[in-house]
Amino acid sequence: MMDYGLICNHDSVFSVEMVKIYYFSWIRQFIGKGEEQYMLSKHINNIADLIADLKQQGDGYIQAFQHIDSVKIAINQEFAQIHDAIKDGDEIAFFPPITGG
Amino acid sequence: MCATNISISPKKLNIGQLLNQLRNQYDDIGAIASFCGIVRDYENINEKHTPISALELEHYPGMSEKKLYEIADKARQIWQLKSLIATHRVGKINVGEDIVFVGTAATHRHAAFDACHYIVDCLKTDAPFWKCAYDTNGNAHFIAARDDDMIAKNKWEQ
Repeated sequence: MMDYGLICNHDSVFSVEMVKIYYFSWIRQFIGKGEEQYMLSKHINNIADLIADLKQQGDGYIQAFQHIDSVKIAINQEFAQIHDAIKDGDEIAFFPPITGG
Repeated sequence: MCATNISISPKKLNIGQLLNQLRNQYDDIGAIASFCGIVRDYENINEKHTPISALELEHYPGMSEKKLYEIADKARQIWQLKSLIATHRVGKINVGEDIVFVGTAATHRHAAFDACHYIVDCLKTDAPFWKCAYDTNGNAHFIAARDDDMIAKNKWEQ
């Protein structure tokens, strides 16, 4: 008898949770890109988890997030805090304190 | 009604035209207040007075417009304004050129003055724009945020 379990169970096989991340100013420079699609592993529930995960991706990320007090966060274009929750499809941005005007 | 014009663009600002646009909206306008931010010829880079040739203004498209609209909405709730313009340049801006213009028109001066001041103070901390300065050797330096800007904005919340 054939086992269709793997084929039929679409949720576990094909469902991938992603966020769009934007980086600006010197954070962009450290990381070397302005934006990326990033997969949310099961253990990433909030911004702090995401930053911890990103810091595994290389030296640029480690440098960008080294002084976390200097990093501002936005979720879906609203200012956010480090312990705010994130979910599939969110637009997240990391940037330095604002210097426009 | 308050005629509102929010924009972000790399184009040079025409201040005369913007002032005319503010005053031409209604006949009962009795006062206009405006602020213009200009690229000065130096920046404090690593606490050192450094001559510069230009600034590069970067923003977060989408969020920058959204925040400018929110700040303008708040100002219109607090003060009786007739017209309001907030326009911010992005991209490379040379010394002596305008970076930002905020103008407010009202029937009397206090509303125009206070609303203009409020919008500029909020824009400085809440609208996602960042400056990078080019020194006279062409080297780029990101500009650090000033504590004074946050203090100025927080005063409006007391």
